[in-house]
Amino acid sequence: MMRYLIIITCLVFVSCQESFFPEFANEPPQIVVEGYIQAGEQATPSLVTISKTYPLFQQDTVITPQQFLGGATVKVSDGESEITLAEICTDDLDPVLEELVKETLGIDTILEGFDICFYADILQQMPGEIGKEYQLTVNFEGKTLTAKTTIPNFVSIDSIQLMDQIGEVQLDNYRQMFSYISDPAGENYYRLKVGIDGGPFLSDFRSVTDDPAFDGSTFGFPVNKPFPRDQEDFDPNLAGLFEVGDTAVLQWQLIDRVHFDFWNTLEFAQGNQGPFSSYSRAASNIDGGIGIWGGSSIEYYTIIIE
Amino acid sequence: MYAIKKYILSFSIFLFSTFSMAQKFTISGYVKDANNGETLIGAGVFDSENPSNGGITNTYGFYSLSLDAGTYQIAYSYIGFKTQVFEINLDEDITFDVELSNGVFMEEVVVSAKKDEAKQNVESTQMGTLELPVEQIKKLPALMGEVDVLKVIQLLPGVMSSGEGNSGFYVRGGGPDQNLVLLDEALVYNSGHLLGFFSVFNADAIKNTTLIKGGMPANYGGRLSSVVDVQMKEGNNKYFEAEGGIGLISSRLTVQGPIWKEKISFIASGRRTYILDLLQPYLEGGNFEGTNYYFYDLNTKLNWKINKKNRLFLSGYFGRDVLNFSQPSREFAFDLPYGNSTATLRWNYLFNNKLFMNVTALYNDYQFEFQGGQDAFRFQLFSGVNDYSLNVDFDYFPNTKHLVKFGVHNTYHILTPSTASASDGNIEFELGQNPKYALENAIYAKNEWKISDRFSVDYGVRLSAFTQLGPYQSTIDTSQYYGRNEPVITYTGFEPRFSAKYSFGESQSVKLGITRTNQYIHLVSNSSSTLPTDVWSPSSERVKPQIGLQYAVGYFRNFLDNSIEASIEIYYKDLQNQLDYSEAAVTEVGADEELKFISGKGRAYGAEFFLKKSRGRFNGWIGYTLSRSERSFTDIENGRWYPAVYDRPHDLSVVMNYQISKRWEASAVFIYGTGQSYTPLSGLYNIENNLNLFYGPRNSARLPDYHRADISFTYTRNPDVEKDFSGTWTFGVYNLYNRKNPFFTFYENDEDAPPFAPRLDAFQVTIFPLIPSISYNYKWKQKRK
Repeated sequence: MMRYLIIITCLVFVSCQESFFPEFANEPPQIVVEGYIQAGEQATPSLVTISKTYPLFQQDTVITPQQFLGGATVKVSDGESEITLAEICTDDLDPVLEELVKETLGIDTILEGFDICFYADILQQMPGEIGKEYQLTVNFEGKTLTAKTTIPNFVSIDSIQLMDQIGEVQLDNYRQMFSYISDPAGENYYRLKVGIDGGPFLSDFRSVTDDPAFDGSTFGFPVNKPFPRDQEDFDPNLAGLFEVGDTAVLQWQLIDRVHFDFWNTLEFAQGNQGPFSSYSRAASNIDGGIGIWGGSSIEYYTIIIE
Repeated sequence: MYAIKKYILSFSIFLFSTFSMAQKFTISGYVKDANNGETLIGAGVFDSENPSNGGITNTYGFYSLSLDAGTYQIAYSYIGFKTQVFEINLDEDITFDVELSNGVFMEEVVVSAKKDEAKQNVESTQMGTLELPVEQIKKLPALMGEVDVLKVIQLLPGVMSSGEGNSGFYVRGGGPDQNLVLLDEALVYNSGHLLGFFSVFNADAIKNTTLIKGGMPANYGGRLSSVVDVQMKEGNNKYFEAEGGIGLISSRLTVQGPIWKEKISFIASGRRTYILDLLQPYLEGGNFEGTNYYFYDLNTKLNWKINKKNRLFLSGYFGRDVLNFSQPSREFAFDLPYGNSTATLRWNYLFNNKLFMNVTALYNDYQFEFQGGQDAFRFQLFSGVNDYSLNVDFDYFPNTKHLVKFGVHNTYHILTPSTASASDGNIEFELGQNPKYALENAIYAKNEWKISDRFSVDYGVRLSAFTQLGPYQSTIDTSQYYGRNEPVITYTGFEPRFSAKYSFGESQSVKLGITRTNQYIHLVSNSSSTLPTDVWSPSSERVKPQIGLQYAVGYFRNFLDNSIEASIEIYYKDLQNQLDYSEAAVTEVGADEELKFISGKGRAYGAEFFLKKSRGRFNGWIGYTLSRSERSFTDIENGRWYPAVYDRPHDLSVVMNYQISKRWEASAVFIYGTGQSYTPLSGLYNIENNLNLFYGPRNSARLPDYHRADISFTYTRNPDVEKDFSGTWTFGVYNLYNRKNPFFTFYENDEDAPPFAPRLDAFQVTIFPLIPSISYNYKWKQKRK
């Protein structure tokens, strides 16, 4: 009888998953802007890419790429002067530069015959400065999109420590990383990403934090080794731990409120699927489109795990 | 203050001016079940020669009839019981308690009693009110054999399930927080166990459930949509009795009996699930050893009949859901207990045979806790609601034409939003908000007036006030700090309630009702289901009270000598100050939730069709609702009216019962409803080379329609023999034809899509396929002397 009960019980809790054809909203595509302006010794020159939302019914037959679009006029103003970012498209570049572009944009393939374009302040006419507000104006396909962001001051990491991992399973080759900062009083917003062995900078599920929990104090927090989001063989026993021999680079940014709101809501929305959640929209500062124009002060820290 | 005094004054005049002062005598008393001494709620008491000279017993089984001097044949009737008629010579005031028995000649008796009961459909002034005796509920098929009051309520027109297998419900297009769920008058803040799949009400401890979905009378308030008033049993005051059940996932045991025969009785009823306890041996040595989940309930009640004038009731509920999660390999573990506790102390006092008083002191709390950690790191999360109430209610029976109710309700609320603390060996930090405090007061008066045999009205008003109290730091004027018990803001509400009935002949009537209600405490959830983590927020500086105005008209008709009841009700609801999270809200521990709210308006309208056959071997009902429920928020698409999550245009329930033989009874339920609305995707976009979802207009798409059929068979071994011990087996199948109703859907990137042309795959998850169940219920009675 008992065994029978258990079998039924197990049956009861096995849920069933199957393909489903949901209804979609047939809305015109939105213009997506992704652009950054940074201050710091290792800052990347201001860079903007333009894309569009992909229609969901796009099928294999005709692929119309909607990313890295050319043909826009992109201007940045600091309130005193205004510059126009240079439009750079891969068709104009030699293979060496193309490789560099791919690395900068974090993409690994460029489709044959498909032109990748972006907009950059390659001549460093307007490097980001602490405390300044920058306005972005994009003219694209007859539409004007605008956004504003401010670059906050640096708050450097005081120290970084490596510890043995916690728990009864001790693996000699793994370490937990902790870092410490002295948070200045008032509102501060942080963003942290980690690159391993020269790979792309990635974050844990949440890359940003605000400071009401530790405002004005010295605060230590764990730094987790990011894992690629599409990785399937996730081992809960190793999650977040760095492996001896890894070279980890911390990309540490101070960001402003609108920039924080964007990542905070976007990353929340990415994880917000499932049984009990409704949708949420990323809070964009782009007026007339979606995406982000984000300012930051940026620093990098390199740690060899041993 | 002046305004309130003026209200009270004009209102008293309005109430009492209508009574004539003829020479009359009063017969009053209690109507009880002869079997166990339980008082019967809503039993009919009337002059059998002139049935409109009559009334029904109140929540405590008390009745009072004032009639001209003379001799009467007074009839006492109650559903499922033998009607008794007594010749009463009324030449002075009389106290007369009656015990009704459900006797041996069950079948015939039920027929005649139900006939009177069915008349209520046409004759009562109240609209949208339904009573569900627990015996009726127990016969219907249930998920995993767990009988659930709240799921049976969902089978009535105008009431919709909040989701697959869920005990949460929406009434006439209102949100789940707009239902006033009472257990022995104590408010139950979270009525679900196990994410809402089971309700907190243990059917064995329940005597009666009343649902009011429209025309809420003035003695209820504080919620916009409905009242679910659950009364616990009082305990057999004559003999000891034990009953219980063994089911697939839980077991129940109820013990009741007299402590002092006919004076003091008690009932204690417990329930606990054990499904994961059974799996413990299989987790041993594994990655999740020690992980367990269970819930339990305890209902207790003590009832003391001190003398003819005084009665005392003490009742309590305590329930907890407990999740222990453990992952020994990383020294990671957490406990997540949550649940309600309520305590009710009631004192019934009879001033005289016309004036009945009930004083209630109430305590209730809902707590949600999370405690966990890894090694030296500890994390704690807490949220909850705590209420202390004192209510005084009067029932005044001046004559058979009038029934007056008036009273005062006061509640002190303590609402603790998510509060977290963490420690890491030597560093400790706290996150989150201080509790919010508030006082909610109301006075009300109402009168049910039978103007003539055909025409009656029920009118009343409730004056409510809500004051947010300090300590509180203003978020609007940040220099303003309010000290302990200092009022921050006060809202008042004028809530008139009116309903009227006009009958055509014996078996037809039309009714109409207008109700205005205020709601001061809100549950805003950004999930599609009610969850234990949901946090109740009071009205405050920023959050205005919700206001609802409902208009309803109905046509009621009984056919075939009252054996078939039918009704059509049409309603329109206007909802003000509805709350929701802003579209970009992020769930964060310790943030002040009300800063994320947006406020808007709502409207709901619909038609409800109900056809019920309550007599005979074959009985049941069909309920169909055609309705819309919409919301408009300035901050969502510039105020476009969109369908609420609670919008189910079509909703059909068919409930059937068939007595196959004396031993076997079959029941079946069929449910059909329009699929839930959701916000569809309109596109994908890349940021930092991650794919993101871009959503289209809110709630502009629907999941596939929901439908399902369940059946059950009940076998009683010796139905004819009165035995000390009796048992019944119930065999059931939930989702008979294995319909794959979506519980939720999600999207995944299609890995095979070419670069720069991403695609999504969509999946739906079904959690309740065909599920058989079996349960055994037993009853033991002390030998009758």
